[in-house]
Amino acid sequence: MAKTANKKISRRQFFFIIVQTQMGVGVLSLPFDLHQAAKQDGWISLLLASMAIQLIIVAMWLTASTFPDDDLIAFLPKLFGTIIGNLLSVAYYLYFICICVLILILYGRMLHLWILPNTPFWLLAILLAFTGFYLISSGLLVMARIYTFVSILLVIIFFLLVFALRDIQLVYLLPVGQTPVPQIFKGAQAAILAMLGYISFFFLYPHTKGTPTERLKTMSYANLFVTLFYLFVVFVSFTYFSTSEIAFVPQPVLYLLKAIELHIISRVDLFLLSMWIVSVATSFSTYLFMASKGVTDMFHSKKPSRFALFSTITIVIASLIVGIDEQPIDSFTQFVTHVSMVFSTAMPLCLMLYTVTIHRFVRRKRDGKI
Amino acid sequence: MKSFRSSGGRQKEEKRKQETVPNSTSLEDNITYFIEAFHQSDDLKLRILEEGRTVLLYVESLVDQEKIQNEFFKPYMQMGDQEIMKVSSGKKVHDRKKIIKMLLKGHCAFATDGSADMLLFHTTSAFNRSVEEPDNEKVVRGSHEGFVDNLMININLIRKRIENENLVVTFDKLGKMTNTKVAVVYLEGVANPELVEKVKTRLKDISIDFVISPGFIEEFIEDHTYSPFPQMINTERPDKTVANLMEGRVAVLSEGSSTCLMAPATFFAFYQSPDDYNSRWFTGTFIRLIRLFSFIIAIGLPAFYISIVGFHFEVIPKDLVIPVKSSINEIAYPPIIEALVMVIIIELIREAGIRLPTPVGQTIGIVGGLVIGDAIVRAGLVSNFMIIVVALTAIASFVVPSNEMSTTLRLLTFPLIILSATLGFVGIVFGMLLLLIHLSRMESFGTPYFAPLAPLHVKDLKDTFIRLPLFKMNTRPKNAQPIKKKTQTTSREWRRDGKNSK
Amino acid sequence: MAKFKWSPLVLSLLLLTGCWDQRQFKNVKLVLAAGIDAADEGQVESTVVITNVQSSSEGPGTEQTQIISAAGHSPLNTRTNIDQKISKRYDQSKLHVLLLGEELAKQDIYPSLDMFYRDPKSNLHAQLAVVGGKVKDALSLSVSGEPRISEYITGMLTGERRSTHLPNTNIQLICSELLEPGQDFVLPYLVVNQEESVLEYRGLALFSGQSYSGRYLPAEKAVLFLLMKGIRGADAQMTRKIGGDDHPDVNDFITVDVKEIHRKLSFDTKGSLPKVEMKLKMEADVLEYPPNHLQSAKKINELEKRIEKDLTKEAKEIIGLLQETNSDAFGLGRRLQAYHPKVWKKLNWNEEYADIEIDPTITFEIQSHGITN
Repeated sequence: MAKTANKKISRRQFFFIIVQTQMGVGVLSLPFDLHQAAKQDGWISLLLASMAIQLIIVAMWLTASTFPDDDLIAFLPKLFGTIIGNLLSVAYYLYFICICVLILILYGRMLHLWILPNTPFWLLAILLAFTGFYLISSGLLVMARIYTFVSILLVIIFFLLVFALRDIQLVYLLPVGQTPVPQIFKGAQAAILAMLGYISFFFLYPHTKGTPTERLKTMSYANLFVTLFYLFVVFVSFTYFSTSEIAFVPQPVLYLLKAIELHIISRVDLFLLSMWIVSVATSFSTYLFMASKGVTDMFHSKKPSRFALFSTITIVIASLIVGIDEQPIDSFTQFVTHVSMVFSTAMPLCLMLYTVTIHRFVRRKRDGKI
Repeated sequence: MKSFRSSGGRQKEEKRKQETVPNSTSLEDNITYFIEAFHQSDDLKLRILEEGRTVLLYVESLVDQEKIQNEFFKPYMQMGDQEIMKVSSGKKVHDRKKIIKMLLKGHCAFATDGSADMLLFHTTSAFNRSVEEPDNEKVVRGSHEGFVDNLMININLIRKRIENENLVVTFDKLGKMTNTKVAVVYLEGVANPELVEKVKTRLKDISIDFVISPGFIEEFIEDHTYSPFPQMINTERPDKTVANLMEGRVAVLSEGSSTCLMAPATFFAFYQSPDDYNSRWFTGTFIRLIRLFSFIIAIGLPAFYISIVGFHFEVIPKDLVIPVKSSINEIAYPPIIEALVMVIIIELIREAGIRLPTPVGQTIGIVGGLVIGDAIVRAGLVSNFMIIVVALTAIASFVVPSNEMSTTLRLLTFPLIILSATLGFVGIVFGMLLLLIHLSRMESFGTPYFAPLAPLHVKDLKDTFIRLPLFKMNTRPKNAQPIKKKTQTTSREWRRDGKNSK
Repeated sequence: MAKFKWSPLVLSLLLLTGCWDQRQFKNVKLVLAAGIDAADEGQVESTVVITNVQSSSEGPGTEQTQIISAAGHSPLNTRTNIDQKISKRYDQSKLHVLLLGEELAKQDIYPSLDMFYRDPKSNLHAQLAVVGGKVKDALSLSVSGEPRISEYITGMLTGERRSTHLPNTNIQLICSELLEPGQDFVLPYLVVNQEESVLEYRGLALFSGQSYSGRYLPAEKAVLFLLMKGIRGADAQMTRKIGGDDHPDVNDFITVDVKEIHRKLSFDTKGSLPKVEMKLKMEADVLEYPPNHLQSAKKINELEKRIEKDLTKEAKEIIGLLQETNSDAFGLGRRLQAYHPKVWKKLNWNEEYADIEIDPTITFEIQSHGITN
């Protein structure tokens, strides 16, 4: 296994890791969230969010290509010096842990609502967390292989949704542009939350084959793919449910499949939910991977699995403390949303600005002196 | 290596065939040349008759010792080495290429110092033994030969199929007390030297008193012993062995056993059968898809059924609701018990069938299958649907061409049954996910076990999920780590020449 | 790594501790058809048909049905009361048909459906129908040759849907229209024929907002209505009188099967009230026309004109009925909102719908007349 750890992942694998990380818990409720904020114009918010993310991706790329061999945790100290750098690293570690906890509780909540109302949450949490742990303990390359493989489920999800196209009413998308602009921006924020995984770019970049431009291209394709997929999901949900009905349905994607009966099988939603678990597991694993990679690097340890185990247990305990009742989940989601705005959008931009201006300047000055 | 370069078209190849390399007059030069040409293969035997002057050369696995005695030694004893050059049964050849070819045909070559000519005697072995088709790897069309329990004969069977000096055989002794002879066979120039080295080192590291079967060897040299999946291809068929050697795999044979082990193996290698290549490629593809589908049925169907009747009966389509309900309504036990009972009964029947002589074994199958199956439903212990499900599962697991994989599949059913009985679909998803992670992180001698799916090699899918026509398979699959990628250039040039050539 | 080799084992041990959500299929009482009636004092009365099957080792088992009803404050409350009358508990996640009593439907129907929308296990593609009279009577019918009432009703509704007498409705599909302002829906209207002991499909119950308006569109007009909505089943047959006098005989009728429909809606928003123009173009096959001689273009033209006139008149009647019952089953309001959001905002659609002018024009074209002339 030590051997595979040093190998770089191919660009195709890179693409699928990004896609699988970006798509996760959010996909089932995304149309609802968008609709909450921006009514039937939610898809505009989605496009806006996608463009914003593309900007951030370019920013991250500018930063990352300055440090071709370092991931986020490794270059933060180089940028800001050991103390501030390590503080930021710890902050990022905590941020990733928070996202893991959020994923875990949202997933627990979803399963409780839809299929397993009586199964204790701790069991579901442990199952997911340890599957994730088992996955990341195999190294990035194995993760990449699996992410690529399970992406076939996205195709299946796509075809399941195609069945719903029979009963859509396009008129529900109209009228366009009736939502005030601030609302649309609020929707964009919700959409960014559902597409958060792009931050993994910082961690994958140094481990991916290809020239910097090629990697940027692949990353952008991944973002485009996620946007298109989400757009399709949003389109189907917005046209299947009427404008006022969707306000009652927090998981529109599942709900619309629930009403579809195929001849060989009914209740397609249960299958979608099962496939969704895989999607959740992959994005959970990426965050867990980033968290434990970060903390391992911080301590310059040679035993990554110890830190991974530590992180996993922390996440499980934290998620059990938060619990899966409506209220705490909502406030925790709010909290993570705000934190994400800082760490996933503001920070990459700041890092980029700092890197291209001050850091470059300082380095040139230092080089000049020597 | 030189002769193997496939850079040219047809004309170049013909030219190359006519090329001759004359022998040297120095015996030492000649001998070194041949040893190198055979890549120091252990079955190229040198018998030094007179130190520095005369040598007899032959490939041990291809010749009949008795014939050598009759054809060569008898006249040699009578006439001595000067006279023997004139003997009629011998054939004087001084072209090295020709000599190599003849050696590979089972001739033995007599060389004397100072003469560029070598004397070739026809000593090809014609073993009078029954090479029967292996029982558990039957094919419909194609070769019906199988390995026997004699190492030399087995190597002979391989050598007969690959008449090439690049086929290297090295011998080793395993088992501190039994001293079992073990042969490592590979194709120089195709097999990856790193892989060959890996196999040889692992074999050398074995320190055990006795080696009885390749099963012993396999457990010592495989990468993940704590995995239910077999990690070396296991066959009794020479044709399968040869095909795998040609892909760049390394074979391990041992004295006293008719099983040949091959590494590296991938999951999908266990789903291939020589039959796929003997039938038309459409059929081959279809059968292969069926087999892979059977994998899903074999491990997942009982779990799926249990989670449906135990957790999510909403999933049953509306016209099937009443039939299913009426079938399971009066069953005393929960579905998990039903399933376990049935699976165990099937295993019992199977095991009993193997131990008993064939006619009785068949009877057991019928008695078990029909009588028990019928009676158990009448008794209300197990439902009709469960019988269908478990029987289908059993059949699906027997579809796999490899016996080891089939056993593994039946074993894997159990954890999935338990998971599905506790968590329904969610359990199955986690079970499958863990299985997938396990398969993807395994490596067999440096080859990812689940290749070409994870990691994905689109090019190699042509011979895993489907089977394209052979002339499309221009490259060797990556998973055997060959150093020579190309297998052929254009094999159907008559196509390109247009209709005139027809 | 060796340490973690045991983690799968630990996981499976954890799993063995219990199966919390198990619902054995063999232990449930299946409800395939159910209905809700209005009862006295604001209560509701539910009726469920429980199908019990006896297994047998050969062939399908025997079936018995149990019809239970109970009153309660809410649909779920009645469920509790029904459970007290039966062994085990009943389960309606495989419900095929849900019938609503006429009286209940005249009130708001959303409360009766709420438990289906809210329950993750419910079957949202169960068919819905309104029954004139009591649902209990409908479900207690024993129709000869039809062992299961649920199958009888779904079969009947499917047949009507294929012949374009019914739109595709189920609990989920009406939900959009139930909640959306400016869009109403229709449900099949069934009545019990006690003499013959069968149910009869009478037409489409027109809903206004969330309640039944009390009137239904008769079955013979349903085809044209659905075509005006742009819906077509497997075939859409209409028989119309084309001549003769007050004592028509069989020779005075033509039967056509509408093959294609093109609908165009346009809103004229200049006036204080919007005007709606509905243009329909139909292409049809002639299925039955005893007088024959359909080879001449003139004759066909004449027929087309005749049918056009007839259908336009009928379309006006249908629209009249819809406006009278204040049922916007064409979803005109939602379309107005979509294309003219400003006009929509100014209007109080619910009140003004009845007064707006809707003008249907139908063009009819015969595209084939079978294998004889």
